[in-house]
Amino acid sequence: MASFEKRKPTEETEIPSSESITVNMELALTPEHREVMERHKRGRLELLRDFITSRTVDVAMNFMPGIDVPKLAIEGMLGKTLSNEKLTLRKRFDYMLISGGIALSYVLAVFGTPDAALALRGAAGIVANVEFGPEVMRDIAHRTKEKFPKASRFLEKTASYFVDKREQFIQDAGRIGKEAERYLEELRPEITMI
Amino acid sequence: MSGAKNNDIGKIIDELLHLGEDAEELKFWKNIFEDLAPEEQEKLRANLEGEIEELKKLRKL
Repeated sequence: MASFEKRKPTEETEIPSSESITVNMELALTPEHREVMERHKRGRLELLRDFITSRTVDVAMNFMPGIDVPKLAIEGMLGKTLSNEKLTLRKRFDYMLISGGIALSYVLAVFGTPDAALALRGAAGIVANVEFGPEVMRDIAHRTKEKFPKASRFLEKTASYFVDKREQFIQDAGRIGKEAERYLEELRPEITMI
Repeated sequence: MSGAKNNDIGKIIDELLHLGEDAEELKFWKNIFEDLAPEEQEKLRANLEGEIEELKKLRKL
């Protein structure tokens, strides 16, 4: 696995709501329009959370049937992203994708590698201490595409989404990674039993 | 069938973009649409179509 350098998370800055929506310049968006958009955007965020949880748990449950810890851990991690009131909904969408990408990368790195103990150490390093960029996600997706085609395809598409905003991704992932580590820690006792 | 569904969701998303929605987010949904389970696709479609309907109503006020 490649080596990575530590990055210090930066302070959160709130993005004004007016910047959160790509505006068709011919339209004047009233507060009512924005309320409709944000309500539906919130619904899509919940759908995205459920989708990511489902794909991540699918991978983990292949190895830990009947154990609810992965689902609870991932839901907790993504739920925190969803409920963070400091962030605009647009920012939350990116946070959700990064959080989900970290969780999915973690389980794919562990379960997609022949030596689980070695992979566990590598995966822990990926989410907590490294410069976790979209190319890391893409690499994990590539290495696991035969074993977990659905999950790896989603990870690949998530990586593509962030290719043009890599710096933002790395800053956010550094911040989210610390939080993610706490949730993913709950998976470790189960994983080490494999 | 899958191609027709993708084309269909593409039209829905184009309409939302015309109504001023967020291009980056919707492009992502369009990209992963084929990876969603049928029930997830229906939930997404209902969400997007509901938003179009409400936004169009506001335009008519």
